[in-house]
Amino acid sequence: MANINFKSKEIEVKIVYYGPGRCGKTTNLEKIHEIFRKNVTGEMVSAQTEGDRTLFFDFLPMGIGKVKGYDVRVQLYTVPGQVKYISTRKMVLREVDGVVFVADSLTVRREKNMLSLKDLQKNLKEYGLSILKTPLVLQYNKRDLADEGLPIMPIKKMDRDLNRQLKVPAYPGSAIKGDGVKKTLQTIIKLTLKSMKEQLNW
Amino acid sequence: MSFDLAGDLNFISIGDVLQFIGSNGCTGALKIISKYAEKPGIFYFDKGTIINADNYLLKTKDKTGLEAAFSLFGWLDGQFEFVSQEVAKIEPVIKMNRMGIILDGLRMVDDGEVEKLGPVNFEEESDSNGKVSNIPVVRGPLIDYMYVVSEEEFFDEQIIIDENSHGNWIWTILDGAVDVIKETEQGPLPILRLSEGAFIGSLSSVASNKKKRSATIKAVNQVHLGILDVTRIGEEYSALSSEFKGILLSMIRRRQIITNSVAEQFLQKDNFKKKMTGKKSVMKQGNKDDKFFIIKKGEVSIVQKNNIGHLHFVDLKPGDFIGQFPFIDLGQEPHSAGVFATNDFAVTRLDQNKLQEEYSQMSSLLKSMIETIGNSIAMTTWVASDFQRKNKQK
Repeated sequence: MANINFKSKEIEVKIVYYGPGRCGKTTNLEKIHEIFRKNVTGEMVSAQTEGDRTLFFDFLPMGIGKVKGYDVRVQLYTVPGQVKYISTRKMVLREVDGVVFVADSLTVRREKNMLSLKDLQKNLKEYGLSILKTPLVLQYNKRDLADEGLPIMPIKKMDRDLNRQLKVPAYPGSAIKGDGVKKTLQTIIKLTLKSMKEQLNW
Repeated sequence: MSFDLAGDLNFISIGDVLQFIGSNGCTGALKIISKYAEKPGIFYFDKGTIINADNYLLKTKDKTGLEAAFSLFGWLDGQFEFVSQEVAKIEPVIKMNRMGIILDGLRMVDDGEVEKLGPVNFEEESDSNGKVSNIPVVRGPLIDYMYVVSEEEFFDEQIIIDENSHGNWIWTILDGAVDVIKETEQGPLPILRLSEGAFIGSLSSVASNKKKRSATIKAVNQVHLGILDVTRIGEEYSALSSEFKGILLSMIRRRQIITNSVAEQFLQKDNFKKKMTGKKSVMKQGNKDDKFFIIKKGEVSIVQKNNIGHLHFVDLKPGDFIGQFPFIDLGQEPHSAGVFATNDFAVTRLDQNKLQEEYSQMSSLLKSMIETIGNSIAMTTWVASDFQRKNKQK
């Protein structure tokens, strides 16, 4: 449930990028920070967690306007995948409003993707959230690696592995080249606001 | 003093409190109060920005700044109080952004770079051979001085209690540390170190006429002890329900047995096979069940299965308690050990809520004493498995 800051008259929406280690969560956020420089308020914060860096910054989406007199501020986070980062994960996932699950297209990472998605479901459950009710977008990242001759999984197969039950929007992406990054972000913001409107009866 | 925002860190974590005060642009001091620290830790805010912090427990010369801020993330158990006040006199030394402090602070706790403030920690100590060994240190919450009737000082290596001597005094450690030593045929064996807030001597001396001391206690450096009002503790003890008294005595017994087990591990005489003859598994290790029982019939062994093999912790008898203790974690069954018993094994289940209720109404002193016993059992259990590991390596 979003946090309403009465002092700054802002609704703070929390969106978390989740996925197996080195799947490109941080690259996604770095690209967003680069592409939408004008919309980013404050600096990008980074903590050097093992496996993947944990990133955070504030983002003011364009074209949404005010909601009941309040501006909408999106807080973007990545979450460290390793089991030991309990405290960070707890803070990041508590009251999360929307999730982007970044999957790695490399064939060798197939199992890692599935385990991480299962882990996401388990973690959300711990904070009283259901993966089926939380706004969620999948991104099949690293599509560009096919050009380098590395074996990657077909989209269809990834859909079958990860999205058969969820049936959420899923986009191919290449975060490093910036492909799919924007689309993923726009969709998750749209879904998150829609779900909040339903909850709050705007 | 009045405050503008206060609460319990078990309810809202430190990261969330910092974010809340920050995003509301508050100016003032956020105090973190732990029962394991005499003085509160402090974060200073200027219009929502963290400008400085203070942790007197910090081991560096300077007890303020970013290091202090990070170290306070280790104060997991405690209360917070925010007071709106002027901070013009506080030097704004912290330049890192608030979210950066939060994410890095939490990471440091998870990575073990920041020490968690609590009843137990491991200190690196060099023993006489110059080898570095880990001896666990058990601390306790700071005690109510009302119970202290007199003070005493001991110096380096001075014996405070001799094993097998008689006596019923109970002390609390006000300052310094002591070693708990078990006499063995191969000489004295240090088992645990007790530090500020822990207790020396046990409740069993007020509970029965058995006043024989079960271990030797020796001063580490200069140690300052408070002698406790045994009569008063005795009165509080006798007001407990008979069930609770039984649990306490059983815990004390368990602490003695596990201490003896460490000595057996040390001498490599654990007679595992003999102890397990005729016993079958009745409660599996890792069982998430939180039931709590009193043993009515049979002989019981608490055994841990680990990557080295099996480790026998304690033998229990009718009248002892097993399962998930409702108010404290002993580091044994059901989570970290299994229960084995003879064929005639029989138990009665107890009402945890009732016991929890009684515990919550006990005086802070009795609670702290129970906490010391529980932590000592958990730590001695750890020492026992450490010996087993070392024996295996030999």
